[in-house]
Amino acid sequence: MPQDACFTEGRLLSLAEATDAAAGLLAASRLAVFLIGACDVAGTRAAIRLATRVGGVIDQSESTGAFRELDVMRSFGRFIVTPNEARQRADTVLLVGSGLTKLWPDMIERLGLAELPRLGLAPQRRRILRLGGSADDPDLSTLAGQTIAAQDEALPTLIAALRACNAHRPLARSADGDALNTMAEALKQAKFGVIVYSPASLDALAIEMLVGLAADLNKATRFSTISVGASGNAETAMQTCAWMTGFPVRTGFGRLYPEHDPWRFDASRLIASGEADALICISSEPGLPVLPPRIPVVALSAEQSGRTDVKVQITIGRLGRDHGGVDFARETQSLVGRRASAAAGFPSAASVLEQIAERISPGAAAC
Amino acid sequence: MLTWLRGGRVIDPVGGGNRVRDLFIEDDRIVAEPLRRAVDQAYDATGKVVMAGGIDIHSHIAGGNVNTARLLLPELHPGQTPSSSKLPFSSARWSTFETGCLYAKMGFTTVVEPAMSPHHALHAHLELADTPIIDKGTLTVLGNDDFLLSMLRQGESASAIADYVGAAVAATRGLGVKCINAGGATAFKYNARAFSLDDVVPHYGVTSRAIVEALQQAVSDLKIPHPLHLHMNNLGIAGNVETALATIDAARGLPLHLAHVQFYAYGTEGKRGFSSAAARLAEAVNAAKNVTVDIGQVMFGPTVTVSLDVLRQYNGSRNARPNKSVIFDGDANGGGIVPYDYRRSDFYNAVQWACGLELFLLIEDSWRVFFTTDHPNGAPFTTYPDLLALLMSRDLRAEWLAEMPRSVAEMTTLGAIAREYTLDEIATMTRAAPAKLLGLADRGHLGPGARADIAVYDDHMDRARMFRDAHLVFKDGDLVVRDGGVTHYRAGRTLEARPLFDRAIERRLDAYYDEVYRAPRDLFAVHPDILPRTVRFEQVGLRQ
Ligand SMILES: [Zn+2]
Repeated sequence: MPQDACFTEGRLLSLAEATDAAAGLLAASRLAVFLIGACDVAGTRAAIRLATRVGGVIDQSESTGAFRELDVMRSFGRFIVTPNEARQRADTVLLVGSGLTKLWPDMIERLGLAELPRLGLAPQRRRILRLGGSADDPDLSTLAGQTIAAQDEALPTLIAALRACNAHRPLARSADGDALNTMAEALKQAKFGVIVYSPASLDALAIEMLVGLAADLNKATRFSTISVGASGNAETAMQTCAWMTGFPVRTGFGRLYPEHDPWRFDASRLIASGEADALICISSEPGLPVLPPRIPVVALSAEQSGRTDVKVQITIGRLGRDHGGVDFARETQSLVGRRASAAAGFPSAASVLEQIAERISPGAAAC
Repeated sequence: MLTWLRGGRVIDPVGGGNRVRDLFIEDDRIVAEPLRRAVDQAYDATGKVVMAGGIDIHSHIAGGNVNTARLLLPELHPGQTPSSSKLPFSSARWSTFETGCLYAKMGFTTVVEPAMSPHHALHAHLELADTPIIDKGTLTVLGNDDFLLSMLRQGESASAIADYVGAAVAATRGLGVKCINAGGATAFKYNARAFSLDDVVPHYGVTSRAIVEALQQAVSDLKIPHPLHLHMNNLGIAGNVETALATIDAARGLPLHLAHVQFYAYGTEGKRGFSSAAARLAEAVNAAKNVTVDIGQVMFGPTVTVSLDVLRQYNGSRNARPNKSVIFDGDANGGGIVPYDYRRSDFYNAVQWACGLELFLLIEDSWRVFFTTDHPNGAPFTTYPDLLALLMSRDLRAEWLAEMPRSVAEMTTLGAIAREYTLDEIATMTRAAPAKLLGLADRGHLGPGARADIAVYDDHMDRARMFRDAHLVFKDGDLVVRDGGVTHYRAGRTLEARPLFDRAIERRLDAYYDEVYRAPRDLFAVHPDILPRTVRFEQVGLRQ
């Protein structure tokens, strides 16, 4: 068991003193913002409970990309396939935009891009098509049968043109016209096609058009999409918040009922505007996010050295190492269980947050 | 602690009939009247109706697809009522917390989530852990999974299949097994747009019928109390009564539960080619004593359809109201989330509404017909009080029917049906029969030894008002609802069947997961130590 690695403005503190200080700070706050990073379901639950206790706001540090995606879903819907199913059966994969393997280093292996689809009716090599992002990954370039090179900024126009080709609508004359027609034809030939993209490199309009393209293609054959996020972290918070409150993150509890508003309850906006007067960062990854000046910060983090710009700092353990639990796995697109592998004795985010809550209102029902 | 519930009209079709009498509760159980003992607390139930806690066998209250519906449709659940600080999230619309509270308020104390995909089992159990008060159970969905279909293709033995099914139920901590459009979700991945009982799943070469028979046999061999729970092919299509009739035949006299049969009670008569065939289906159900059904009643208003029948959901997405949907090709079933608005003025919706009521009223044995709206697919479960009122009043049905397009009355037999459910029949359908169907010996009745899950209702003439806000509800002997208001949270249990099977199958499955999913099988398993501390599993006895 290590000594409690807790600090106030860089000076060592016991865990009891640290949770006391955090509770005092939260109780005195008018608007506390809870910014969740890498955190398991248990920690997220505890954060949401604590936020309701103090009338705070819940957001997630990667939610900007997640909301770009969610906004499209809430307006038009989505087609989703798991990476496992894509690997088993996709005969055609369209990779859109740049940085996919940077965001998801295992992508080629998880999607089996170099393999035969196991459940295909007539086993043949997958057809890999690329729209944009051409030069950034040599491995993908080797695999790709057809590539239409483009900068990310050009993608909305190109996707719209590809969709038009697919629908046999006439295209405005462009250099890519023939290539797009060839690609559209390849998509139509697919028995089970998958479009892979990242909301990090696409704007909402481009994502909407990819959903539309998948919808068009599904009229005659099967198509779906995989959205590549930086991690499963945003999804862990989105999912947990959704069942607990009915809404995703960017939800506030100032009125004793959850209110969801992606603009009003955006953590960075609340901090920049001065509306927030306390920030609670929770992440079991090493390092701390860029911290705002002037607002007192409570940081639950894997960071083990005390920082002078943090009011209360508590070192927490990592899921799958120090403690077991559940988080969202990008590989399976589902919540999965993790066992502790080598507990170093650091407390979980959930247990620290529960201790803080207990100090704010002792005995309040934990159910 | 001894509690005396005095002078209520106790309706207990299992042991006590229908008469005014006292009930005694010792801790979490109902006990016979104790001799010479002081009671610790007493409640006057004079003039009230007392029943065992309600049991809902089919309600989509938890899991990845339900959560996707929440994310897809923020407009369906604006939240405006403050929760008390003692009951956090209790007024958060469509939250798991609200679900537990709303069921408890209506006197329901046990609810089964019927569509748990094995790879999303952890998610379902996490949501159920945050669903307070009520006890929960889940049905593990099989029948579109590569492992099972491959076993069938290779002609593996019934005992090997039972081992696999047993391992899946154990790993996911299911209470039973559900099959959803057997083979249909997989066929859809091969671009099938329709899939019937004798259609063949591409690549595997097995029919839907063969999958159903194999699962039915496995559930029976494993001695799981609840028979195979089947969502048939061709849901929602005009003329699909033929599918339902063929499926009843396919059961070969063995126990089979057919889910939300209202969605399969359609004929092709009339100028729109859509009519009620409920009378035919009811007749077949009446004759097939091995078959049980739940209805999946349609009630009017905006809702969302959440189903693992992804083929059907894709076809239905054309009619989404509002026009957006999520189609998910998951490992095995996946799912589809399609919002919908059932309208009284819409001919098709009104016929659907009538079909459900016809089935309720024409199926004679209230031990074999179950009370569901397939929440939220036919309607949210919060419409139960209105539905109960309709079942209990012919006049009320006539009033509703008068407000619908006239052609609706012509395409159904509803107007001619005089039957009105009695409170005894309601108690059978919503309490006694579900407990029997699920194998819950200590629930659904009020005899000594029964779990003290008790609902006390005001005996209003307005039955909807009566069933909306129970006067008192006890869960495990603990008073949790008073005058329609939840007094406090308590953690319910999760019911599971723990079938016995040859554990050698697990080594084979581990190897399969490593190869096919490139992930340890344990990643998906539901271990209590990674769930919240409040989660308690209760094992349901296997059939003798
Ligand atoms: Zn259902």
